[in-house]
Amino acid sequence: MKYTLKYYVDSIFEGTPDTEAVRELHDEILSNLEARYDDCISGGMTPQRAYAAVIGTMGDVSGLIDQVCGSGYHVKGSFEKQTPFGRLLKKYSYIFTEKNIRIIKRTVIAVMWLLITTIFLVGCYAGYFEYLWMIFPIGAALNVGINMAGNIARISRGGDNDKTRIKLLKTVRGSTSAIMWIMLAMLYFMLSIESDEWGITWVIFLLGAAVQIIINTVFKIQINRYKE
Amino acid sequence: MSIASDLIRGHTDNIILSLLMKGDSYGYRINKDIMELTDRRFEFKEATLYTAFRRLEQSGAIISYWGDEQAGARRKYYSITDKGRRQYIESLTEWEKTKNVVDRLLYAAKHEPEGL
Repeated sequence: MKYTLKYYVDSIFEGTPDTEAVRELHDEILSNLEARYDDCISGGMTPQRAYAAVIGTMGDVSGLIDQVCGSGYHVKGSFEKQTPFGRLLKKYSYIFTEKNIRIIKRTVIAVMWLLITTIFLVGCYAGYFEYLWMIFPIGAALNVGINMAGNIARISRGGDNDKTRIKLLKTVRGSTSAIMWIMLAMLYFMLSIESDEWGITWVIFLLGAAVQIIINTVFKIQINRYKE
Repeated sequence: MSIASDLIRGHTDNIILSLLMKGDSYGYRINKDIMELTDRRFEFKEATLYTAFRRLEQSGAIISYWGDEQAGARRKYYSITDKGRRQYIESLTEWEKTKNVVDRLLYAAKHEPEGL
């Protein structure tokens, strides 16, 4: 009957990510249940009664397991707290394999550019070129965003620990900066075309540099939280 | 469990620290010690125990290490730190004070002089 304890503990942990913290809790619970079982047996219980007695002392560990799965061994943030959306993701987790994420990402990007080009051509035909060129920088920004989403999905699969958190933060930092510069360039052309003051509008990039420095600082502070 | 376990629950961390003051131990043995000390009137649910271990380890009051048992699943031992020892001593003082206050309040009727 003792080996069934392992099945019991395995069943409690079914569907949890395979991280060191989760394995540790699994082993700790199992070893303690085994010790109790051995004690019950040497106290003269039948294996069946011992098994029932051992299981009866467990209590509800689901909250604890969620804690361990959700935020690694050291609770530091709320990156992966279980939200309704998170539960939905878990249900359809078979879609989000590493290979599929790449395929989905490529599909979304290709479809997006085809749509953008279609809109642009139709718009130009109708005589809206003046504004429609903006669809390309916006598309570029979306492209960066989609890549970032793909990267986040891929990195998150590596379990939740300090290393993946740092990687996530760096990915988000890179994408944020890229989107910021794309938007800034767009703004630059808009203002310049509008005002025809090309001699001064370029100073907007100085502001961009300032924003970039602030972004770097903010992310650096966050990254340092997860460094020893 | 006939005694009011919700009154004990607030002392979970300090009870664990108290038992670890006697030496390193692991989940089941701590519960076994508790059963012996209380004449089998009380023990923690496993879930309560692990949650408390986690909390105490994160606050630096205890540290854990793996035992080298040959048979069965690996066993996690806990050891009290200096910080934990200090926390334990403080909790005793606090308990003495609280106990005193609660006693006075709960027995208020008994202490009241008659005819007043």
